[in-house]
Amino acid sequence: MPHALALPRTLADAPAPWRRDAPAPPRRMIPPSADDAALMRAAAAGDRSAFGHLVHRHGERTLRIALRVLGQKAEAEEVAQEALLRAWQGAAGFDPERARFTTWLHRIVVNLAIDRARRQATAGLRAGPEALAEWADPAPGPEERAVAAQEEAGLRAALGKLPPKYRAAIALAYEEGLSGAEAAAALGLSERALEGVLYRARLALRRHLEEGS
Amino acid sequence: MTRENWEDGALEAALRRALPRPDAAAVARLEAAVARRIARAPLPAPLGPMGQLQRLLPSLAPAGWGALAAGLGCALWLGLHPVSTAPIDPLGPLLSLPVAGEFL
Repeated sequence: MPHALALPRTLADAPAPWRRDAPAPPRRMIPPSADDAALMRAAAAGDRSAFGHLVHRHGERTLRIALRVLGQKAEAEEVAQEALLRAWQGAAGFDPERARFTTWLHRIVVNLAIDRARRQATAGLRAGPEALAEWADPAPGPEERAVAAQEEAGLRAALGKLPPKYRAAIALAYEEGLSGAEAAAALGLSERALEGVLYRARLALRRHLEEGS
Repeated sequence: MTRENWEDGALEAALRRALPRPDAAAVARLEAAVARRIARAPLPAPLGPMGQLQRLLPSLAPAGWGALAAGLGCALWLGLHPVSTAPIDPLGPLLSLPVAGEFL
């Protein structure tokens, strides 16, 4: 009976996991293609590279949302960094059954960006209109291009005059690949409430554009 | 574009063009900065007992069970509470006020 004899020998040779000197089990490398929930589980267990994959996958969108709410590159980068760091620190608390990782992350970044924008407004710092107008392309070109650039500059200036929550709603609503439900969840609203916010945001935007033209 | 041109369709299209996008260098800077900060940051704190309870609670007690439990609790209390046979004086509670003697 070779198997019956081999089994006890194998068990005796194997290091007992409960012994203090037992080597730690080898950590399985999680592939970058793993889904967000699996990467977050690994991150919660302390796998920094797994979280790095998530940053690589969602960093650009995080930065884009922060930029669209704040309008300033440096501020947006700080807020996006802070949001991702908070996601790392709170990885153990993330529950994939309650929300998707992207919804959770977008909510963190939107809240941080709105808070930052409000603080800027309270402190009287230059925020919004002038900052967003910086994004206009000043390069000279054909007439149509120049007119389009002027219009875009006007639109950015008008966007900058909106309250941060309206800017956040617009940023999420025009985010490609983001459903209405996800955008609403990131703002902590129902889909219907988000529609209302978007309606008021467009009205305010149109009013600012009319004043500016 | 004049004011009457800011119709929904035009506004939508203009917004899609005008909303700022971060450049590749900014994204690379962000990734590098986050990696640097996470390398120095402590590992994610494990979930405490309250956090674990919060996570388990929705599966243990789905929505609506709280209201049901409250209703059952009230029914139980009303069922077990002894019925008072003493006559009720509607002005009784007012007599305990410090100024009750002056008016009543």
